[in-house]
Amino acid sequence: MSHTQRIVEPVIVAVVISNLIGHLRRTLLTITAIAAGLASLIFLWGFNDGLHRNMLSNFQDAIIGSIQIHRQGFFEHPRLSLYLSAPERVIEALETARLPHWSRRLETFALATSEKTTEGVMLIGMEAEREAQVTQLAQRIGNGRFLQAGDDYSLILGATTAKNLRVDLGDPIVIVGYDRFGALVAEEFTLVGIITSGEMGLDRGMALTSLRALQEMLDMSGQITGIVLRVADDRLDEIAESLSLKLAELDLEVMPWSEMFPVVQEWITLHNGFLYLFVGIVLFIVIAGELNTLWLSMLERTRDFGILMAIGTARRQIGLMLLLEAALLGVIGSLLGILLGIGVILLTNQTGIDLSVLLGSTSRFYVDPVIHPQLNLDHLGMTVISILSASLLAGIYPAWRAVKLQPVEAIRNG
Amino acid sequence: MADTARLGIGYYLRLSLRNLLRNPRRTGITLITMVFGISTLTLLGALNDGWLNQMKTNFILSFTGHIQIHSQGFEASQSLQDSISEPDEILRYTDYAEIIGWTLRIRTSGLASLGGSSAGVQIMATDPEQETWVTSIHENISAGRWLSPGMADDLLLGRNVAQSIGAKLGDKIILMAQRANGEMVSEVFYLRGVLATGAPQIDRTLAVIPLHTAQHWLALQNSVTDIVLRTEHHDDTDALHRLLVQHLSTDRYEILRWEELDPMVSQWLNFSDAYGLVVIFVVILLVLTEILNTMLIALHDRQKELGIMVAIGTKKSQIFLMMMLEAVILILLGSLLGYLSGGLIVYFLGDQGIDLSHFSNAFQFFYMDPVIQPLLTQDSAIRILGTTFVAALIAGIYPAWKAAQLPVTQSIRIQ
Repeated sequence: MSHTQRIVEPVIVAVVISNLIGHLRRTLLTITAIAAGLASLIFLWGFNDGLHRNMLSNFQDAIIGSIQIHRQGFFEHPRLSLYLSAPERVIEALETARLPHWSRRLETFALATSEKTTEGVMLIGMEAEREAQVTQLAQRIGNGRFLQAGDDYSLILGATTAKNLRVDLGDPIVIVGYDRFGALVAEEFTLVGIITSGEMGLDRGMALTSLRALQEMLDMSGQITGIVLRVADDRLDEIAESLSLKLAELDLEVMPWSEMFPVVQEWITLHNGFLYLFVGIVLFIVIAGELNTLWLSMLERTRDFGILMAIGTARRQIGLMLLLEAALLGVIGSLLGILLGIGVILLTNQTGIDLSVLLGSTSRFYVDPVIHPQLNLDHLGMTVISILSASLLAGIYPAWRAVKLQPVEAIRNG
Repeated sequence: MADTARLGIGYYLRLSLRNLLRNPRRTGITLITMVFGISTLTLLGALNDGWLNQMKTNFILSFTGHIQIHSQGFEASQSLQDSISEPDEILRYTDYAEIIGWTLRIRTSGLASLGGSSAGVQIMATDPEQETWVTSIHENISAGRWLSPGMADDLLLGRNVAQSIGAKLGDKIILMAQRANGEMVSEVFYLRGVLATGAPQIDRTLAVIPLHTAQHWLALQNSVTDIVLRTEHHDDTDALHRLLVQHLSTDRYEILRWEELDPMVSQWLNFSDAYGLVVIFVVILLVLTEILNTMLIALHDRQKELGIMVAIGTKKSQIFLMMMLEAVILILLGSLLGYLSGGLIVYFLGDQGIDLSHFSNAFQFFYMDPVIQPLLTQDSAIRILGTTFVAALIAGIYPAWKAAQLPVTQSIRIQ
């Protein structure tokens, strides 16, 4: 028995292949269906991942950067007494780690007062000449200009804050705050730029000035509260970890953006969850489609199977034959689907998918209106595996039906 | 020949029906593909709409209500000088059937301080009881309790505000604000509750105090800055807005819908909607490919029979008509059954929803819920059924045309 088995197997493969080639049209249709399913899933993931990557990158570029280093506890309670005690040692560590994209900041709460009214703001002193290393904030200035080297008491406000204070470019604004000992300090600034990003969290509640001016105002010459870093996304975790190890004795917090603003990360996780749901449902459509073609082709060949059984082919072998057909169709369809999907992604990545008809032409929620789909290998692998298993699964029912056939009836009725 | 040409549409209809019934298995399989595709599309559309609707509801109930009435110019100036001095004049209209809750508020910006730390806050003074009819703020308290009627010095802070000044329940907190005449005044409050809604505008900036305290403290007598209304359904908003615009003087009052109160959120909803449209569009394409596929395979099955029809003198146009009619009957039936079965799934999922919370443990961002409750809407029904119908018809034309093109001899020979 084991002897015959070995001889029969290649025969079955040959029969399967000649079946598939003999019904080329049907084979092609089934393969197309699988490929279309896989390609559309790959595209959906690419669209989703491209959108997320765009959002994350814009989010970091807006103001917070990729990693921020403060004294332990500063992020929770931004108090000036928690200033960074040895900034030069941190910068030295960054330079030795070949991380050139850093910039220093000094942050504190303050009240911005115009002639008409007051508003609470987060006052940030930035290095005008280094800020471009870490964020694209300068591009968000819609009115006026960004900070420049040599600026004195110049101020930049968000559009909403400027509107609430009823101030315009060139107007004086008095900033009232506390120094690190709790004494009240006030200084007059001139409004030189207005951020008109349309993004939540940027247009309101912030005032930017040059690091030097703020240090002078708060009598903290040479002191800062934090260092902002911009690094490549794929190295972020690794860099954050190695930095916090390296700077362990300094009592610092090395915070990746996702730790500072977990909601953004969670939003993406949730969005992915939503897409998993969609992918699951689409998988069902693909299974149903393939089940249909396999079943129809099995029904069409009932008579053939009857004859095969009559001349002594084992039921097991007929079942195996149909399963093999399904597997072959699945593999070829998947390969084609991968090619098609990647092709579509490469193409749309170049041209971009323009949603501005639906959304208007400015960026919203850190997402640009033109989305460039991108391939994420994790999602690609998961999708391909599920489509392959789905197409195998679809072969089981027709194979089982074929195994149950009675030869005589099959020949008569088929 | 002239005879066949005069055959009415009824004849073809009978013929098509008979064809479909004669091979129930083939008809069944084709139908199942359509039903399956359309019901999954219905479900996906409903999930998408349900998700959007939940965000809308969460947003409206978290703070803004459906409609706010201010004194003309307040939304731009945010100044106490633009307050409504006679709110009772407007409250006469609150017995409209669409309104299920209303509250009066005073909003102004200020500074909250505790010890040495202070933070800018948006002060919202409201009636402890009326507020609960309009929004769900009172349900989103992470520690402590909601305002108690009669307690004048109760204060609630957003989670992040409380955190940044290091305030704990029971702490004595000083609020500073400006009266309408410009005079700076401060008042002592006691922190009784912390708000955690997930909405940044609340968690990061809000300080809630009782309305009467604020009216007294800010020397406003009976004035308020906002009258906030909640309607029974989101769709009632526009109708109510029209009614109010008719009855109230728009020189004195501005009547704003929720979309106008926070354009950012309505843009966010548009964005989510666009995202959903792209996804659904791709799935529609996929479903159509599957339907076309099944129809083409079913056609292959019938080549012989069609060949014989041509051989005995049936015209190509007649075969085309017959095949198209079959497709139309299938599509109509498939759409109907598909939408019904999709609707049934939605109905059963309805209240329970689909729980995504294991994808993300603690998210509360942008008014999104971890549990998606699918929702059938007319728009998405029209979109899905309309596009699949038109596209399936186009998909039907191809096999029908193919059938009409078959060479006679070849089709008869095929087994």
